[in-house]
Order: sequence, then structure tokens, then C-alpha cells
Amino acid sequence: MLRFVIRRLLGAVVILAVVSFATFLLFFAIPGDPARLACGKACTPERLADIRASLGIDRPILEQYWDFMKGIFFGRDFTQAGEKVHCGFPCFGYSFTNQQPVWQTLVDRFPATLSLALGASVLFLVVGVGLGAVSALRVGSLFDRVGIAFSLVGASVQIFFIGPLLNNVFVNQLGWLPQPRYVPLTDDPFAWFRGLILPWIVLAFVSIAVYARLTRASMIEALSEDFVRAGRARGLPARTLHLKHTGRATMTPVMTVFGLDVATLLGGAIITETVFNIQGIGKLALISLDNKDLPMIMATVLVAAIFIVVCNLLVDIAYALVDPRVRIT
Amino acid sequence: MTGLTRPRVALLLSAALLLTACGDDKKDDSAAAGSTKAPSEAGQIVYHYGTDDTAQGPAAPIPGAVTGGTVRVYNVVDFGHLDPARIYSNYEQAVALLMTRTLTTYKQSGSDVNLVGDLATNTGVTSDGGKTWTYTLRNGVTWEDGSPITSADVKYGIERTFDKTYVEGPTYLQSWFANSQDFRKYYPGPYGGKSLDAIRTPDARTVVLKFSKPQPDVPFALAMPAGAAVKASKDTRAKYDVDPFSSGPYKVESHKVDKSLTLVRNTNWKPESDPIRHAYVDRWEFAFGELPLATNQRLIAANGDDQAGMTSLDQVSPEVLQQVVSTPDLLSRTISGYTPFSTYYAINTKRITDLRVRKALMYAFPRQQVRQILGGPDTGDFATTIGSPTLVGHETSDLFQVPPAGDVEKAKALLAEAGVPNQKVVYAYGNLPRGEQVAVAVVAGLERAGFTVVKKPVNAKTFSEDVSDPDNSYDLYGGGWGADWPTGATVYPPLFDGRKIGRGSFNTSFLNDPAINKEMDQISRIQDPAEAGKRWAALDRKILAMVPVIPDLYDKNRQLYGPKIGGAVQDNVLGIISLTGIFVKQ
Amino acid sequence: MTTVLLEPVGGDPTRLGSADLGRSPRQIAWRRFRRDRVGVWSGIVVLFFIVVAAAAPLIAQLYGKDPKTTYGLNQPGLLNDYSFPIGARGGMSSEYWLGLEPGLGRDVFMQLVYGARTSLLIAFAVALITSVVGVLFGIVTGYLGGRVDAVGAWIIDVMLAFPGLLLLIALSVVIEDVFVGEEEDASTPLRFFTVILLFSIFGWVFQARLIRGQVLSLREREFVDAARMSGAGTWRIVRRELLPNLWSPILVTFSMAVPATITGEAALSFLGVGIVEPIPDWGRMVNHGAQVYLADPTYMLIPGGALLVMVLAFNLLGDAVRDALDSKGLR
Repeated sequence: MLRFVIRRLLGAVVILAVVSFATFLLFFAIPGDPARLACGKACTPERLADIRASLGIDRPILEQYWDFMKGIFFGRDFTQAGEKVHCGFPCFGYSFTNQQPVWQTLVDRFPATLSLALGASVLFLVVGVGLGAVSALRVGSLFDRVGIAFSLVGASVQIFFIGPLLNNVFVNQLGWLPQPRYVPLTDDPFAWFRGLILPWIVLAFVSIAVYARLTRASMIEALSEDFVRAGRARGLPARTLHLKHTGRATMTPVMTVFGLDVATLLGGAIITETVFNIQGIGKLALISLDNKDLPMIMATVLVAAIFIVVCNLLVDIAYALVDPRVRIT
Repeated sequence: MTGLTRPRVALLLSAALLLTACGDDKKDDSAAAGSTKAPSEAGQIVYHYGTDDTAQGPAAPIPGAVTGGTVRVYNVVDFGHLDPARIYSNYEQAVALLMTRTLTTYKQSGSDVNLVGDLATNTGVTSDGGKTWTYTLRNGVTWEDGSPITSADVKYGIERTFDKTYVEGPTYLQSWFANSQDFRKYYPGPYGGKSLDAIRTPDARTVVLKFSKPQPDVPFALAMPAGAAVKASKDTRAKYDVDPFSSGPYKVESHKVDKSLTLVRNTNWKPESDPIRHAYVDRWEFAFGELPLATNQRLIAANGDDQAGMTSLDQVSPEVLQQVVSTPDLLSRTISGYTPFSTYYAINTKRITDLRVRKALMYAFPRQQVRQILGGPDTGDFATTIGSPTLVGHETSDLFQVPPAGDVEKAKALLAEAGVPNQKVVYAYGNLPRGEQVAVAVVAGLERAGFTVVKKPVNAKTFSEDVSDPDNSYDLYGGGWGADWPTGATVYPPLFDGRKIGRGSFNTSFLNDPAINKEMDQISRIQDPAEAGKRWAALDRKILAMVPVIPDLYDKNRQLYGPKIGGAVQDNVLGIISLTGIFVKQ
Repeated sequence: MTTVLLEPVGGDPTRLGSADLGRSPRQIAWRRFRRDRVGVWSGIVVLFFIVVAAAAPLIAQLYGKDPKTTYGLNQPGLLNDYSFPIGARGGMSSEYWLGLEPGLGRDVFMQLVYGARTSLLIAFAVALITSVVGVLFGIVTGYLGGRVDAVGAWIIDVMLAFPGLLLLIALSVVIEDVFVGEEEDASTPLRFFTVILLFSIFGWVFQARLIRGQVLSLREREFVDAARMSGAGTWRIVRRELLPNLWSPILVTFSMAVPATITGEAALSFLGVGIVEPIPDWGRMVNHGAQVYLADPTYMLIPGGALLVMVLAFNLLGDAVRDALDSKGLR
């Protein structure tokens, strides 16, 4: 097992290197001069040259990449408005657009993304799996059909459509919910909760279908397996059968999907954050892409990639622990 | 505004500008009439511009105003700059008024706009026809830490604007001191230890500015944030843009870039020293990033804290404009008015050299359809001159009598005459959703006249810069301009002086006519504002005859605020809601 | 949300019910499908949309309008000063069957028909490409195993680690920059090509992962072993033993990819990328509808409703197909 984990970790490092380098290259392939964008409207040639030098983008790409990656671990020195500043580990540099330290900006915005991800994932996991399980136990019933239809409707709408709509109805017109916004949990747990309810519901609504159908299908299959039928014949209580014997078989595919979904959400739910103006990492990524803000883009991409890699690894470990049939290759 | 050269005499320049909101409608093509008409503004809007050297603090209390409360402001984007040396946009100038005091400023009451002394006791004294300007600082002007604002601070603030890092602000003062646009060669700014000798500070309360040529508009230039004082020991350079040291009624408590900005009372600001500002509100909480439509919807609903909500940047979105204007309760919660801005579509005269083709573009352009997409008559009146009617000396004229929906036949005839019935036109625009919609209408309109149109979306952030590149490969692109102070001197030279052409300049039509350049120089030297105004108006017609731009709209502003917000008025110099008189109704 | 596909409930295809004796697996599946009423109706709806999309030009000719003309702006009396339709119900009339678009005044019916064309064209192209690539990848890595599989698995991990949406946006800008001249406008085919390409680049991974998993487990089954021992060549084994067992997951993932792509493409146009004006697009219409629904609810309900119905139908159809192919499920 340990060898497996180590091997996967090494693989993860390589993956992150590939992703970061590819992003770097892509950045330079996108048309537009980041120095000019950073310089703004009233740019003078000297200021442009200054900025170009301070951003260091006139150097060869490989050199810039290496400096950037090295800087993450060992820190770097920058010159800002004529003054020297040092940024320590983990150093992602300073934003091209507003000279703010990238890591601090990320740390500052992450709690919003985390809150959004946590609430939504709990919601869609519990509701989705619950819906699917109950439907599997009552296959063909009205509940089954309505439940699945409900989840499918969710999968068929778009966040950018249903979000503003529900917002206008429930928040603006009916006043049942407060304006969606992120309030730090530590500031006011109540406001934190109320401010995120609508984004959670919308985000979960569009994702429930996958879990419902997955759970339902896996449970149906598991329920008809020989060992379950044998157990039923032996007189085992229904609940034991359902949870103990079918649970394991159901959880593995759900875990795989859930791992990837949570990882993606932790990297920033771009559309949800834009629709509800949650100032998280997703919105940051979009803005920095628009601004051609290289350090910010690299940081958000890397953070998102790390989450995915880590979550995949955790899922694989859990997979191996839960299902003995899986061969660890 | 050269009437100010008489020492200590307050000259009231009454430039009565008659803007009949309904008058233009008669000229409108009645093609789209017969529809629900928006309730128009009050019949006549008269702006009186003047100087008032008797203005004293404290500012007259606003009837019904109470102290206290928190205002929540929702803006789609953060303020790009709070450093006075780097501020130019009107919404940034509006918020700067809360934290930054300048030598002079505008006192507005209804349609009366008077230049008054802010940090200074008056709008400036000159005894040599505008070459030397002397200012005396008021008593009781203090920084947020209680220390007095001194003449050294004023000098440092102006010196700072020369530094090569701070390029975003206006460049009037700098170029006047240096007598050239290349002012950084003349003085590089204070960071290298050098001092600008042209600014003298004989004592802590006196500032003397010396220019080599008469500069009658100095008092106006000093009303812009670039004329603000900055305390050298508190100059945090790059950080100053995010958190400036305050001289106004409020100071920054926290500023999370692109997220939020909180302003709290500056207890060291003394109302008696300030002729225009109030400090009724306890706390300002700005939140950024919400899309304008969502902000408007939330202000319409006005639930909970949003009762004391407003926006200092967003307009009423076209999607809800009908609802707002036709609901009396909502309409009463808006400020509206004409702004100093007029919009136009610039034609790249380097590429489209045939005057007939430019005229054809003008006749073919579907202004009516475009305005309708943007919200209809409430967003502005169709322009028949380049300069806005808010300019001193503006004369109503309509050189070409182009109907708002265009005149396809005339356009076709002109193209035929020029021998290019299917002239290719590259229309560039910022790639925002609204821009895309407008582009569809523009293409449709131009194609009707036979043009072959190529739509070119450009990154909205670099759009204005990209089109200023003299080597750009576009033919037609939108633009707009508002005078920095209401004379033609701040409109025509920036837009049409051929010697200014280059990346970052505002002459995006690349017009470079030596005769026009010379005339602009001449008019800029005229002392009498009324005569200058007349000459500028004539110049407007002369330039328009060459059709370097297609005049579009005289811009109107409309912004929504919550039911508990009081004291909301439009700042007629900036063309946006004014923050200095806001209070929270209890 | 990411395109996530179900783990299919394949399984031993040799289990048969009594009524199915004597019939081929294909016939069995078809019978089962026909008995599922929801599935059949979904199929009909899907077919309807496909036909409408394919016959768009014909419909336009019969109707007498096109999706590009800004009727409301060109003629007085159709849109009011705020550019909302004057007529009731979004301007529905005998002239404009489903009303006019607020803002630009285009014909909603035509926009819907051509928008369906856009969405379905892209969705089917992407589903096809990702299925082909994904299946090939899955079979090759899954069956050959060993080092090939290790590399394949690693490639999949790398692709999954990329932040899809961001890269889609960035890449679309790059592609257009490469192919579009300074004075040219990105042509319609180019935009389609870009969107299809980008969705395919990121979409094949899910199919591949799935198929690979299936192949890995099938590889160990007795009948494959038997075939191998009896000397059958690799290609023959793939064709005879693997593929027949893979049709179920392949079909299912194909039918899931279509609605997922439609939704994904709509999300892209919300962010201003991909299919932009003036190409008719449902995503953009729906987004615009959500903004103006207070003043013009019809304009939101009709495209929104149509999109919902179409995607729902595809999803239900996919479910029905999977149910029909599944021999173990309790019916």
C-alpha cells in the first residue's frame, strides 16, 4: 500500500509539472501583451519598458518558468515601484494587474470557495445518494419516477439561468432569503449559512442527477447479486442487506465521481461564483485570465490541479480499502 | 476660464445652456414613434458655471439630513485607482471627493456649478495674467492623523504627478509647467530627491505656482485629483493606490482589492474648513463584482440592508429601465441628468481617406437602433455636434441633418459616387455582451447601405488603447468624451490635435490637419471665455464637416438608489451620482 | 458540472428471461425499449428536435423569415422605446409566431430552430468524436495492459487535472488568433470548429476512463481467456468478445455526452466565449431571457422551456437505452 501511495505521489508531481508548464506555454500563446494590459490606458513607452522588465516577461519562457516554479518553494525578490520586496514560501509572485501578492489573494479568497464547495457537495451527496437509494428500493414506484425526473430537470438546466431566476424570485421579490454573499464563518455563522443557501441549492440542484442515477443503478445491480439473494433467503433483515452488502458496491463508483466533483469545486466553481458574486478562487481565475495576469493564472491553475490530483489519490486509496476486488496496479 | 484673472473679484460667468429635453425629439425620425414614450426630463436644464471666492465652510446643511448609518454601495468593478495622481475616471473622482481634498473644487447646487477654493481660501489669485497663481490654504485643513495640511504637502502632491509610474491621471498641470507634452524630461518627480522650483512655498500656508506662459485654466486643473495634497512621509507609493492618506471626511478602514472597500469617519476632518462636503454617513461599505443587472434588481427589491444601498458606478440596466421609469416609486429613487459626456463613433481617417465614404458611413449608421438596444431615449439625445451642450458657448447646429435611423439612400449614393459601392469596413468593439448586441445592429445597418462589414471583437480592457494605435487595422469604433471642465479646451485638442496622435492618446480618428491644430492653439490663448466658446463652437462645425467622427448621443445618466438614501444628486461636473451629500434616512 | 457518466451495469450478457429465448440480444434490447413508454416518448421528442434542426432552412423558407434580421428594430411599432416587444406575450402574432427578441428584435421562432441546429450539431459532433477517441483509447490501454496501460492511465490523470473551463476559454482565444486575420471576422465554420475541437479535447477522457475500466474487468473473464487460449488473434478478440460487451456503455455514454455538451456549450456562451453573436445559440438566448423575464416573461419561458425539454428528453432517452441494454435490472 505504501509503495502504491508513494508511486502515485511521484506521479502527481509529474502531473503538476506538466500542467503548470502547459499553462505557462498557453499563456504566452494567447494574443495580447501582458505588460500592455498591466500598463493600462495611459501607457508611456518608458513605463511599458519598466513594466516589462519588472514582470520579467522579456526573458526566455523556460527561464521564466523555472524562476517561477523555483520561487514557489524558495521565495523570490521583486522590485515594485522602485522598492525591493521579498516574498517568501509559497511565493507565487505579485499580480501583474494590481501588484497584490498572489498567495495572500488566494488565501483570502479561498474560504469563500471552500464554503461554497463544502455546502454544495454535502447537499448533492446526501440528497443525490439518498434519492437514488430510496428509488432503488422502490423501483418503478411513483417516488422513483418523480425523484429521477426531478434530478434530471436539475441536470438539464444551467446555473446561469436558474441562479438569477431563483435569486430574483426568492430574494428580491419574496424576500425569503437574504442576498447571496459570502460572510466568513468566523464572523457570523448564521449569516454565513444564510448567505450561501441559495448558491448551495443551485449548485447542488444541477449535480444531484448524477449521484441519484449512479446510486440507483449500482444499488439495483447489487441488490440482484447472488450474495444478496442468498442473504435474503437466509432471512437477513432488509436493512442489513441494503446497507451492509449493497453499500460497498454502490460507494465505489459514487466515490470516484464525488472525488472529482469536490476537487473541481475546490478549484473554484467559476459560473456559480460569477452568477452570485461570491468572491472566490473561481471568479479570480476568470478575472486573471481576462487580465492576462500570469502569476495569478498559474497560481489558480496549480491550486485547482493539486486539489484534483490529491482527491483522485484519496479516492483511489479509499477504493482499494473498500473494495478488495480492486487490484492495486 | 480667463475671467478669473481679475484679482479677488468674483466674476460670474453665466453661460446659459438651454437643453430642451423634448426639442431633440422633434428632430428624431418618427419611425419608431408611436411607442411608449419615456417621461422626459424637466423641460429646460440650465447650467450656470462660475466662480465663487466667498465660499466658506461648513457646507450648508441639507434639509432633512440626519447623521449616522451605513451605506452599502455596489459597483461592478473596484476603483482602479485611489491615488490622486492616478485618478481620471469620473467614478474614481467621485469617491476621491470623500478622501482627498484639492486646492480648488466645485460647489454645486441644483444647476449652479461654481468653482470654489477647497484647501485654498479662494480659486487663486494672479496678477500677471495667469503666469503666476497664488493660493492661501484655509485654517483647519488637517490630515487624518490630525497634522495640518501644509503648502509643502500641496507642492509634493503636484510634484508626484510627474513621476513615470503615475501615468494614469490628467497631464494638464505637468505639461503647462514644462511647456511640452514631454514633461518628464523637464522634471522627473520627487523620488530622486529633486524639487520642482516652479512651485514655491514661502510659508506653510502659501503656495505659488509659476508658469512661463499664461495659463488661465489653472484653477480648473487644480480641481482635479491631480491637484491634491500628499504628505511626503505618508507616501506609500504602490500601496497609496489602494489606501491613500486621507484629507477628507472619510478614510480607508480596509480595502480588499476587487472585493470590498470600507470607509469610516475621519474624525480629524473639520467641517468648518470645508465648503462643500458633508459627513452624515457613519460608514461606507463598497462591494465589488456584482453584475449591474443584479445590483439594479437588488436595489429595486431593497430588502433589509439594501434599503440603504446604492451604486456609485452602475447605470440602470436596459433590462429594467422600463420597469424603473414606469413605476413612480422606483422613478423617485433615481437620479438622472445630462452628463458632460457625448458619444461618437470614430472613423479611422488614415484608412478611410475619402470624405464621401466617411459621409456615407455617417448616413448609414443606425443610431436609432443602437440607442434602442442600449435603453432608448432615456440614455441620451441624438447628437448633432461633437461637443456636448454642457460646454460653455455651445451652439445648436445640425450640419448634416442625418435622421437617427440613418439615410440609406444617401449613403448608397455617396458610395456610388466614390466608386466603392461595397466598401469594406472593419468595425471594432469591446467584446462585452452589450457590445455584441450593438455590433449586430451596426452591421445590419451598414450592410443595408451596401457596406461590407467585418465585426472585430476586441478585449474590452485594451479596447480604448488598441484603437488609439495609429497602425490599427480597424475602420470604425466607438468612443466618448466628457470635458474635464466645461470649455472646448478640454475637448477638442485631446480629440483632434494631430500632434497628440499615438498609443494612449484620445485622438482615435487620427485627424491631423495643420490648420485645425493651429486654430486650436489660437483659441486656447483667448482670454474671454464667451469669445473662446464661440470660436470652439465654430471649430466644432469645421471639424465635423470633415467627418472624422459620427456624433452619436449627448449622454444622460440614470442611477438607482435605495429608499433610505437621502441627499442623492447628480454631480454635474462628473456626470455621476455625488457622494458628498448622502445621508441615511432613519 | 463535469461530464460524468454512469458506470454501466453491464454484466453477463448471457442471462436471459424466458420470453427472450430464441431472440438475439439486439432484439431483446429493442423489445425492452419499446415497452418503456417514457423512453419511447423521449425518443420521439429527440427525433423531433433533430428533424427540426436538420430542416431549418426549409422551415425558414416556409415561414418566410430568417434568424438574423432585426425585424423589431427595422420596423416601427414592434418594439417600444426600451426595446421590449409591444405586443402581448412577447410580441407573439401571426407574423411572429413565438414573438420577438427584446433588444435586437429578431424572430424567436427562427432563433429557436437555428439555435437547435447549432446545439445539436455541436453536441453530436462532440459525442461522436469523444466516443470514438475514448473507446479506442480505452480498448487499447485496457486490453494491452502493462506499460501501455500505465501510460494511458497517467495521460488520463493529466487531462483531468487541467482546469477545463479556464483552458477552454484560453484555448478558444488562441485558436481564433491563429486562424483569423487582422481584418477578418472569425467565420462561422471556424467558431463551430473551435468549440467542437475544444469540447472534444476535454471530453474524450471520460469515455476513455469508463471503457478502460470495462475492458480491464472484461479482460479477466472466462470467455476472453477461452478465446485467447484457442489461439484467436488480438483483433479478433477485440471484435468478437470485447466490443459486443462494450456497446452498452458506449451507447450510454454517447447519449449522455449529447445533453452534457449542450449544457456545457450554453455555459460557454454565458461567459462570452464560443458561439457568439450572430450565430443563433440557445444558451445565449436562455441567459438573455433570465435577465429580461420581468419585462418579457415569454422570451424566457419559451427558449428556456424548449432547452429544458430537449436536454431532458436526451437524458431520459439515454436512461431508457441503458435500461433496455441492461439485462440484470429489476424491471
